[in-house]
Amino acid sequence: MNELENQVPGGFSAMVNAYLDGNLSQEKSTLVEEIVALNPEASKIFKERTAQKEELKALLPNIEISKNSLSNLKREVREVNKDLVKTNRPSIANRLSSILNTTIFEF
Amino acid sequence: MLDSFLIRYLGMNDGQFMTLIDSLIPGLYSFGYALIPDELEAEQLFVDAYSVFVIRESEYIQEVELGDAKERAKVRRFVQAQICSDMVELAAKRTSHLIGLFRKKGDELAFYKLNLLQRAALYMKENMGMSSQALQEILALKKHQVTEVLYNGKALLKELSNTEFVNE
Repeated sequence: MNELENQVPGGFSAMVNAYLDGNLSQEKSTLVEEIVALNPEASKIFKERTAQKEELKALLPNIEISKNSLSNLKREVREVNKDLVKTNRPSIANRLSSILNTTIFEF
Repeated sequence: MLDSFLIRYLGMNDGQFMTLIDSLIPGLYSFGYALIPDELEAEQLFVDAYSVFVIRESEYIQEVELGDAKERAKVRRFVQAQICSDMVELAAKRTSHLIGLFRKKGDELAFYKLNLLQRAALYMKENMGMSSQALQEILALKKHQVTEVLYNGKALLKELSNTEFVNE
């Protein structure tokens, strides 16, 4: 066990956790997979950690959005966009005044 | 002030930016439900956080490049993190007014017995696959604080899931 932990900088268990969280580089992920394939002790640790992660995930809510809510939210997002564009679009009076303030001819 | 570039991004229903936002809606809605267990509140949380994000990040939206897949993934992560952060902040302000929802649904799920920070961190880490670095930025916490929130959250969740009131 200690030999396995020392085989990888930072410890094998920590590396398995990072692997399962998807936080490892491709190179390190391949290393974990190779160790797990060759070492029964590593394979055991990997299975235990995977099971623990699955257990934890099962305790979290994972509600799927309904079609109705999804279309509501898509509509609402577009409404928000429209309102923001409207409130930030300069009025005709402002646009006219900015045109009138522009120097067209210089003498 | 929003200029013509932003109007172009936001005004187009089929624009790339809107496609990106549309693709984020299901995940962010579920995250909203993890923060406040009510369909309408979760919807509202997302809409309000989106509004805050667009107003605050209008300059970023104007300049953002959605060219290749790598860039799109980077923008997607940034937008998701920003909206998540605003959702947590808004939920923190609303939670005290919505205690009834937690009483009703909290007895059904040990998860809703955790505090807001623990729920947010655990959900983003386990269900959205976010890194600890991302959690630090979203929750404005230091590395050791994120580790502590996750550790305590996991421990409490396991303990609560084994208690009788949850399994009844």
